[in-house]
This record gives sequence, C-alpha cells and structure tokens, in this order.
Amino acid sequence: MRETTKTIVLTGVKAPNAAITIENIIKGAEDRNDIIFMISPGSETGIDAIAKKYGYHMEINADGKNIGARFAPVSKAMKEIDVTGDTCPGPAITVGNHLSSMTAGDRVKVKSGCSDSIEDIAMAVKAAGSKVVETGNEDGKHFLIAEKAIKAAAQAGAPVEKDKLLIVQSNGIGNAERAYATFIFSKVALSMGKTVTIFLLMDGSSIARKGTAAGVKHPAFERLDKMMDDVIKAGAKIYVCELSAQFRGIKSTDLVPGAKLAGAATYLELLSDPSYTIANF
Amino acid sequence: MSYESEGKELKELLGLKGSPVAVKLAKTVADVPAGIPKMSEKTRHCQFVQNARLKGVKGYATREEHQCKGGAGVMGIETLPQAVASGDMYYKLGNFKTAEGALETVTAMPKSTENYYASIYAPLEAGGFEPDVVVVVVNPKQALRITQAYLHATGGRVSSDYSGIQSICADAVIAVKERNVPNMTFGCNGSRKNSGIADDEVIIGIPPKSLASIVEALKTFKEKWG
Amino acid sequence: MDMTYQIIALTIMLSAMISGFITFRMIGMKLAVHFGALALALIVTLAAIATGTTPIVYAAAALQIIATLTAYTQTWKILQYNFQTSPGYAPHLALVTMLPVLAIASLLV
Repeated sequence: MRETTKTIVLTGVKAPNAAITIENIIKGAEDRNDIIFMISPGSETGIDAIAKKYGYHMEINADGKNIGARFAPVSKAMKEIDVTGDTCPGPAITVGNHLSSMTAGDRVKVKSGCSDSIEDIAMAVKAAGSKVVETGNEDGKHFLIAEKAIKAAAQAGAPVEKDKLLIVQSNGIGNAERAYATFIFSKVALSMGKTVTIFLLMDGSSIARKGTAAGVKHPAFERLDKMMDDVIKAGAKIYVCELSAQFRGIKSTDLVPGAKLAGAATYLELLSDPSYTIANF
Repeated sequence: MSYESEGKELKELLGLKGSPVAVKLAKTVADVPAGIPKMSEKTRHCQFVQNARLKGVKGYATREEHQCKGGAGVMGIETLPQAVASGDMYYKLGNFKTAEGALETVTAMPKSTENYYASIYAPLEAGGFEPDVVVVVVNPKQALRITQAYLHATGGRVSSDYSGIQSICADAVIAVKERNVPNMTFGCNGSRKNSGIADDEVIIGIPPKSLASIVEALKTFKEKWG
Repeated sequence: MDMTYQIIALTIMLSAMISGFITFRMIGMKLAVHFGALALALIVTLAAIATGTTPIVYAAAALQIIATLTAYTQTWKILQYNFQTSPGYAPHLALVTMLPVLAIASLLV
C-alpha cells in the first residue's frame, strides 16, 4: 500500500491550541506516517515538545504566509540507498530515478563512502526540484536525506542577472595556451566582481593535479600553478570531473587545495543555471 | 460496522434530545449507501442535520438540494461563492468591522480539500452506514461529559476551533473529518435562525473511531458519578 | 665507418627540428633541455658524417639517445594525463623515438 504524506490545515488555530489539537491528532492517528501541519506563524509554540513526546522528528518549513510543520515518525523506515563505489554518473542517475518514482513529501536517505559523491547527488536532487533536508556522517559514511517536492514552474519573463562565469576547460597541461587562458580569464572576471567557477574535464583534470601545473611555464607569464593558486585564493571554485580524473588515475587526494571532484550532475546543473555565462575553449 | 448500538447508548447515557447524526460525504452517486433516498426538499446543511436529529429523516443531498452554498462550498459539494470566499458577505452582514478581518476568518475556516457529489444524513442508530463524522447537538453539561469521555482513556486537553460562522458545516463536520479529532462549536447565526438550534445548545462533531471509547467512558462515569 | 645510419639519423633530426618547434609552442615554450640536446645532436652528427672520426660518431650516437630521452622526460606528464592532446605530440615523439635504434646500429655495423 503506497504511503503518502497527509497535510492538515490548522492555520486558524493559534497557540497554544494548535499544539493541543496536534497532540490529539497524533494520539488518534491509526498509523505512524508523515504528517504535515499547516499552521500560522507564531503558533509553533509547544509543537516540538509534542513531536518528541510521541516519537516524531519535526521540521519547520516556512512557505510564504504559513508554516508547514512536518512530523516524521522517528522509527519509520525511510528507504535507504548506498551508492558507495558506484562511479559517476551512476549515483546521480540512481537517485534521480528513485526520486521520480516517489510521491511529494516522501523521503529517501542516500549513503556513500565518498563525500564528493554526496555533494554531486545533492546537486542532482536540487536540479530535480526536490530538497535536501539533512546531510551528515554516520558509521563512517556520508549521507544526505532528500525530500521529494514537485518542481515549481519557473516564473516567466523575469530577466536573469548574469553575474557568474563558468569556464569549461577540457584541455590540460599539454595545451599551455588554453590552460593559461583559463586562469587569465578567471582573474579578469574576478576583478570585475564576477563569481568564477572553473570546471575541468577530460585533459583539463591534469591542471588541478598536484605538481603538474608546476611544470608549465611560458616566458610571458608566471608558472601555471602559481596563477591557479592566485585564482583560487581570489575566490574561484575549481571542479574536476570525477570520471575524467578516474580515467587518468587522479584521485581526490591528488588535487591541489581548492579543487574538488564533481560529477556529471554538478556539471549539468552549472550549465543549466541561467545566471552563468559559459566560456568553453 | 454498525453504529446502531453505539447510537442508542450515546443517546441514553447522555440523555440527548434527538439522535446523534451520522454525516458522510460521497464522492460519486455510487458511494451513497443503499437505502438512502435523495432528500425531497431543498434546504440547508444545518437543517438536514436537525431533521435527521429530531425527525429521523434519512437522505442525501447533492448541490441541487443544498440551498446554502456557503455550507455546500466548505464541504466540497459546490464551489464556495465568491461573496463568501472573499469575506464580503460576512463583512456586510456585520460580523466583522473590516473587510480584511472578514477575509482572514473565511481564509482560516476549515474547508474540504476534496470535491464531493453529495452529503448524507441519518440518525446514527438507524443509518446503517459508516459515517465520516457524528454530529451531536447538546447542552453544555452533555458537552462536558462527551469531552470527559474523550479524554478518559489518554488524558490531555481538548481545543475547540471555531469562529462564529459556518459552525455546523465547517467546524462540526469538515474540521473533524480532516483532523479526526472532536471539535466543539457554537451554532452560528444561520444555523440558529434557520434550523432551530436553541440558545442553550452547542454542537460537537465526533470522529466515528472515537465513539467506542467515548461510550465506554460514559458508562464508567454513569457508574461513578450517576 | 659506414655512415648510412648516421645519415638517416640526420634526416630524422632535421625533420624533428620542425616538429619540435611546433610541439614547443603547444607545451608553452618550455622545451629548452630537449631542444638543446636535439640541436647539439644535430650539429655533432653533421660533424661525424663530415669527418668520419670514430669518437665523434660515438658522441653523436650518445647525443642522439639523450635527445630522445629528454623528449620523453619533458612530455611524460602530458602523455600520462592528456589523452586528447597527446596526438599533437605524437609526430615529434615518433620521430625522435627512431633515433636510439639508428644510433646503436651506426656503432655496431
């Protein structure tokens, strides 16, 4: 039998009566499922005590005018998926498929031995319009809890401010000009007040490997690794494609500080974000 | 499940005037229980309840039979009229000093989250169907006993949620149906004027699932307190 | 001494000067060690062919091998991590890789 999350509207019931009514509802509930109580701001008093008393985990979501207090039974078995060892884009696709078969309000816990995988999955979850409600560590693994939400329709006509630069670089240390240009453009963009994100994929992953960029030195510029370091210190984020790195025997521990592995979902999400100007050369 | 015995016991133990009323909302005509005819007269929800309570009238009412669109509206049988939904009607009737106040009250009023084809009424002990809500019209002392009986098993407190408008439809039926928790309300102007709710009467909507334990408790009280 | 292999090596080194220059630009103009070794090998090979003197032939052979080694040491990381760009380095590497065999052959035959 499919479980769905019930929403009970109590916006007219003020504190402390909201808590009293909620307690009676929980007491009389036949089965322990998630319930969302819609209450008006200020009426949350005492509700968390009720949740604790009856073995529920409570979470508040302010949604415009009203507040949704979600009660999730603590002992309820939430579906868990372990994607440790799966290679990108496997985990993002697995979680994406799972989310698409869930009902709004339902949750799933995703675990992995690799924190970069979890971050990539978080991107995939948000891209699908769902929410990440919790992240953390447990038994040596990293996890996140995703809650399915129906993606809100985009507001038509609102102009998007393009204040972010995404540089996609698939060339590496073997092509010094492009490698240098990546950081030269970054420096300029940073000086213009833009937020800079660099996504290194394929050969580009070699640039972020410790020691490799140090071997690149053009007479007209400083050493490539120094330029990269300057750019990182100035606030640019460097992502390295997980699969490209894996193909080249580059591990996350091999990367320079400030660069981190990312998966396909992150790449695609960055590409789809309308506030980014994309430079790909 | 037959509520025949529970209906009778409730009536006796409390000394009710009239019967508890079984109220149910049907999604389609197929959901109307067998043996329940369509109401012959067009009138208001609160009147259907009183007729079942005092005259034993059984029947179902579709939007055609519901004269009060406000009542049919909150129960999902009809679209809530714009004048009601905007608060305009209650503001003009004088319930609220400002139009904003009227709108706030109407917005917070319990409303059905789903649409229904008809509402069904019968005295509980004669209905022969499982109701969504049991509506009783009682005096304050009887209301006290019902509350005490509800809390007898697990303790705690009750909270009543009402606003002085649309009491028998929104407060006594819909709020209880959605929350599965009893709700007490005072008969609104409309229900008092049109369906004869008396000055010393209040209304309680009871979730059917609570009936058994309420009846149990009432019996205990009868023994202990007489 | 038979200079045939040294003449072939000379041919290859001449060709490698141009491929080396093209490679040098891709790598960011930082191929000095290898370029130096290659240029030196070229000059000494010319001298060996011209004079036919055995020590000079040995020197030429040694320098040819060193030129090949330096080509690899300087492009090793690129070969290891840049699958897409490596083909751009292939012509030069392919050419210089021919030198060690010719160098040894010129000494033995």
